[in-house]
Amino acid sequence: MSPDPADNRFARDPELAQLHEALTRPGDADDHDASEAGADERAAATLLPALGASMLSPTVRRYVTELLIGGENPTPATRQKLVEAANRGLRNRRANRAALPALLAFKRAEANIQVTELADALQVSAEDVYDMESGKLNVRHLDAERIAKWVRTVRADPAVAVGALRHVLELSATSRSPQAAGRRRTGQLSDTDQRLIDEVATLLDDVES
Amino acid sequence: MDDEDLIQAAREGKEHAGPFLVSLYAPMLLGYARGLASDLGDSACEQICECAVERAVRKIDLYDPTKGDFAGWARSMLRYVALDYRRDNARLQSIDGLDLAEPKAQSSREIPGGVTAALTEVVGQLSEPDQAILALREIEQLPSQTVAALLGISDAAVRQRYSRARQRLVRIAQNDQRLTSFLRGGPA
Repeated sequence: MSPDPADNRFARDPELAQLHEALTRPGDADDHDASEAGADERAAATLLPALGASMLSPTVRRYVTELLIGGENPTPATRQKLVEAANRGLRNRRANRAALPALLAFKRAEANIQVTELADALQVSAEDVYDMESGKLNVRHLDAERIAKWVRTVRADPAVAVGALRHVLELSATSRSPQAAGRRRTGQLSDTDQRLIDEVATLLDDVES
Repeated sequence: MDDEDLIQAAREGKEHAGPFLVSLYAPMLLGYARGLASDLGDSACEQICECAVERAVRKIDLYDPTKGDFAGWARSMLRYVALDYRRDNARLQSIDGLDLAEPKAQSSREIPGGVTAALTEVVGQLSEPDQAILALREIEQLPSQTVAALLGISDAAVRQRYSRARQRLVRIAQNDQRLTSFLRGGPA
């Protein structure tokens, strides 16, 4: 196969056109001396996996992207599947930024765990689970052990869950100093809230390690 | 909406980011999946693409624009998904008693910062055509036939250019004292 003279993919960018021409020029690969033939294969095997895109010149990076950008247009059905995949990713991102009840409700749905199953695991009623997930039941009324169990049962990421717990406690902080009352800032955590976060983090850490 | 706005919208989990991202990058990812994993068939390629899109959105915080463009980063997500798919598939096949070749795995060796800096300089000493052929074969992990089709040259020509680019990379690296220990398999 020889280069197509009508190949005008890079017509708008002379730098890329020049690189493409150099790369596809016939016979250009043969004009190097034979002393290179004995290159150390072991060194190559060490070096090559360490290569990364950030090591390439900006022109080469652009060239590779331009070369691969065309691809193929998805059928409507495939496009729909890809949009749904992107939306799943976005929903996951939103959940990870949410307060703990919303995060854990999302994770339960994602893991396809029934309310009754979660209720059994936590030894509470199904109504309690709904109240916990909707935020109707204040998370402060749960002990650290139960929160950690909730996180583990729905298979939420411990670090994300601890962040989400902090988030919900800050949102509903009641211990803001009178000086802070007029300011628009996140509520400060009481010692009790901080202790709850630390205990949950420790319990989740214990399971992780 | 430019790329930066779109990536920011995805970071914030905004709903409109999904269809836009798919419109911009799905054709590239589908084409890339077919080039990377043509042996797996159309349905697997689409499945890989789907997982890659979801993973790219979930992990979009990890994208660092100083290290390359978003398209390249999205392709790296697809490579990981394709590798996972092959691993899972190989496991299933081995359960069935079939003997499958192990897929080429990404390096799990930790690359020290000093080595990355030295290697970046070494790569910078290569000509741009050498860098491009190494990028397509090694970084993008495309088979030589796919590269040949993309470039419009023969498979033999791709193999020859790639082999020579590799040799030149090794020769320059071997003359760099900062890489001596790394090339011997030790710490940098």
